[in-house]
Amino acid sequence: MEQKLLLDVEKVCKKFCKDLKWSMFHGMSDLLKITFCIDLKRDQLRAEEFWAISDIDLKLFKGDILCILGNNGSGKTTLMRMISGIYPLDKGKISIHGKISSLFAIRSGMHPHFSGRENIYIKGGMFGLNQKQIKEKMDWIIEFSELEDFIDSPLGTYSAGMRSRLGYSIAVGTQPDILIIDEGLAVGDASFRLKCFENLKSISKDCGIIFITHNIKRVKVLANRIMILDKGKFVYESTLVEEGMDYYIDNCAKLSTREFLS
Amino acid sequence: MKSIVYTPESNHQKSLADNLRELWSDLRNFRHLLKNLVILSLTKQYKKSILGISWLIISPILSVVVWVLLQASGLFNPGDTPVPYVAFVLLSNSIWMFFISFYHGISDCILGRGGELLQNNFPKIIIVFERIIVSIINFVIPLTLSILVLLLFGARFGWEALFFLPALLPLVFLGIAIGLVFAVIKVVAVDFTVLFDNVIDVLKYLSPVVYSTAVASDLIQDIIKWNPLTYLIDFPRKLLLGEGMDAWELYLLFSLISLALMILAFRFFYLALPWVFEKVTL
Repeated sequence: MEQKLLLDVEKVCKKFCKDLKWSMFHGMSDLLKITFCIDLKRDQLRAEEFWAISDIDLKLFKGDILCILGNNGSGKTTLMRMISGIYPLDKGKISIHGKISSLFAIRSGMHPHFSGRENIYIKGGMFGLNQKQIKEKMDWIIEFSELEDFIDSPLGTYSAGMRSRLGYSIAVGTQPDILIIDEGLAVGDASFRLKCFENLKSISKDCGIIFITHNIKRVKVLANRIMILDKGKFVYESTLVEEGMDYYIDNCAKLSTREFLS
Repeated sequence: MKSIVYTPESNHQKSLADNLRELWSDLRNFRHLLKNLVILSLTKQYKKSILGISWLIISPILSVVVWVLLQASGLFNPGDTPVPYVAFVLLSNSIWMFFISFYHGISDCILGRGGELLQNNFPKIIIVFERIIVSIINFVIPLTLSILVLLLFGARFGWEALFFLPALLPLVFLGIAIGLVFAVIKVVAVDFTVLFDNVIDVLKYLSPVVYSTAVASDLIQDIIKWNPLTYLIDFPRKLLLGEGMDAWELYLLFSLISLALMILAFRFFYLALPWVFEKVTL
């Protein structure tokens, strides 16, 4: 049976500037060019610029739980922000078929003086849900986050784990077609994490999931595909997760002892 | 199932009409978030206060007291003003604060909430509209107090006063236009904003805010004659005070220019912000 394509990333590039002064100079120059409708020539590098993401191709299908591994600064978050529509592309094309929800910082956009319930309305709105849709999902979010007794208390009284559980539950409660989780799986205690893993496996039948983590154990438990990003390029892709992890450990992770990870 | 395609040209291929359609669609699709953010913004500053939201009333009352004391001290000797000077300045100051609240609120909103906007993908224009609505709400309370003080000092209002609020719209448009342009520029570098903050401070004294258009100085008379803000401030103020509709042609001209500037500023915001947005982290 043909797999349903949810995300198609084709030859995508993104550049950044290393130097603050040059970054301001290029920024002002871009603003002037936009004002006078002059081509920005985004496909060319200027002084102190570099390709943070270079010629990336990626396809995500329904049922995929794709783990993207890579060292710090390899471009994982930048790529996820481009897919989410937060950063524009300098080259290439991204086609998204369906609704996308991204979880970058699990507690971002939540406010300590407001109750858990009020925060569900605010954060749910950020995911594009309207009042009616949030009301419909409210019971599920409260139950899944296990916050029944505290949902009307101010978020500031919650522990870090409780806030994370709420943030994760809201994101998953939006029922996206593509779910992006960037370093967001350190949720609550061990039993809640296990509950999340089971939930992700269960919802992946109806959607595609991309998650970014440095925790090798989570990759083993969850992923059915693995891609390794190094210096802005994909250097490895496989459905054989354990082999991919070996590749990452041997070629990318700068470790003195292998036992540290395995 | 909804499909979206992003390319480097996605933004530039959009016409002005496309930008306005996008603005409308963003506001329609995220209206619930907008409502919640406005409530959040109005209540969060007082959430940890004993007097709570009553500060929304207490702060303007304190301003009234200060101005009344200044008037009693005989500190000012302004031009010929149609109502007692203290009431005149209270009203004019409210109008001026209303105008610059759009500039300050909107120009700060992207840089000030950059972290939140980087982690949550919702249209950035929602934050702009949150600032616009909060500015309007924050204006209504001091305005009501100013009108009460005007009544207290003997002012009586005619039918023209009903058009005071609609007549302020061009000033709102201009404030929004300036705010949107600086919201984008501020993400790249703050130099121009620091400069413009000083320009705005000076502009207050080059516009008929703390004095009337009948001020004695010839130099000031010449400056305010060429200052578009004169007409955008003075026309609605005269409507409220029942002083006729002088210079309505110029008011109309600058109103249309303000509206055009605001529409162009929305286009600039939509076209330019995505390309510089990554710099909010710098």
